[in-house]
Amino acid sequence: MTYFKFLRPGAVSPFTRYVWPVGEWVSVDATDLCRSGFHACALAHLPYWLGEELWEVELAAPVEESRHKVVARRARLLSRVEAWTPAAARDLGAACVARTIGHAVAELAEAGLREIARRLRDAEDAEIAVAAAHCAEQASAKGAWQAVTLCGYVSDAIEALEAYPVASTAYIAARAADQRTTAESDDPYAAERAWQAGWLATRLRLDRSS
Amino acid sequence: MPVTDEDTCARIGRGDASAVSELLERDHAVADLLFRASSAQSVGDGALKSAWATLIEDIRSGLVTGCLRAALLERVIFALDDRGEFDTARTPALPGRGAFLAADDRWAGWWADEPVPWPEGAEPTPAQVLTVLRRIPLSLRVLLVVRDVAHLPAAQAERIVNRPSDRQAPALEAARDAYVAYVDEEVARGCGPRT
Amino acid sequence: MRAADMSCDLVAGLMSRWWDGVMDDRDRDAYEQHLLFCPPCMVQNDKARIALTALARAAREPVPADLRRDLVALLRPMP
Repeated sequence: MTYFKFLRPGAVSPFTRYVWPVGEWVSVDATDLCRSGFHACALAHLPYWLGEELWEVELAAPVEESRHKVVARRARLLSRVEAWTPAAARDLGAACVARTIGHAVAELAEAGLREIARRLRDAEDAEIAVAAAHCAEQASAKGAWQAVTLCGYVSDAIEALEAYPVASTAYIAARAADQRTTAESDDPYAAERAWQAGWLATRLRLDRSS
Repeated sequence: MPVTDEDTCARIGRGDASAVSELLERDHAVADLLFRASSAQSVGDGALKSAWATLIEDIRSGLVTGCLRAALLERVIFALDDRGEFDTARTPALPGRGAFLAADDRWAGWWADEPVPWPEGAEPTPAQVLTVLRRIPLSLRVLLVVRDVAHLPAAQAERIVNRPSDRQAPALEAARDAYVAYVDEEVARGCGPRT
Repeated sequence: MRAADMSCDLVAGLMSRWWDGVMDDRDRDAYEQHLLFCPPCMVQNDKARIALTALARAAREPVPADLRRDLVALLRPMP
């Protein structure tokens, strides 16, 4: 089974700054896996750990799976997923902005603001921020506070797309989903992350069995 | 096989000078840092030397049979206390963690003023670390050295920091927050090279 | 705790527990995921990690020769 790991540039762990040797098995002695094992991702976990470099990793059994990661005592960095480039990250960010707009549009429509919802949905890229601000004003006048918040997230997502790593934009989309008044799933945050995992699998041609 | 403190005590009890040397090599730097972080500016190192001498005598007499690092640090604190050589200079109120957005913001609790990153490779020098330690209230700086430099477990630290083990975590948290905030100020003034 | 619900204020308050490695799996995931999507918190966490690492290594003073000599002298047979 293929596992993945997001790292900082230079195959560096994001939190400990451990520099991974490529192609070499590394191991830990401790059995308390979460604290001292090697963490990696199955496909579904990827959106929670987005980073600059994506690598395929091999894990030695036993591999323990938790909610958002897998952990093993021995691991080997295999090769970079070359399709995960800055351009691909930017495209995921743009897709997350579009998803955030979708959540705001749905929230506005549910608040009875269908006309301005349509304007936000149809806005050109350069006009989205202005349209979102206008929608927020209209929603505020109607006391549709959740719609106001969702429109705010649209502005935030656009800003994050320019200023922050893709993880930020992806999070804003998931947070927007989570704060919809009417949820389409028991866990809208996780559902949005699942959508992002699907995007990554398709765009990067990742093995969906992983 | 690793050398245990019990072995070291037994060897010192038999008059083995190499056991004293090994103990000095292992623990002197930590005791020295605790001393320099906790003592008044102008005092000599008599309290530190006294702590060491007392420890060796107590090992020889069988009063101390293990947990040597804790025993040494405890004697450093006691020696400073006996001599009235603690740093009693007043320290300012502890710095906060930062400014966060108010409850009515859609990003309530998120940064209002974002932290500024350090230059790549910046890290505090040992001298800067000592300067920062001395800005922290005495009881918290002792706790910080004992737990985060000497790496004593909470139970062994109790008598040294005069705080039960189950009440050390909140104080250690406050001490670390203050330490990091002051290091931030020091690094902003001038970065030390990565060594 | 979920990353979805964590604010920077909360994350800042958990730094010490993260450093000690005493968070449960779920909380640690939430904490670390927050760092990834919140660059300011990553900056703050990096500062804490570097500062606390430097603290752990701050004890470097060599053993003075006179101290070693004085302590060895104490090893003479006790009366």
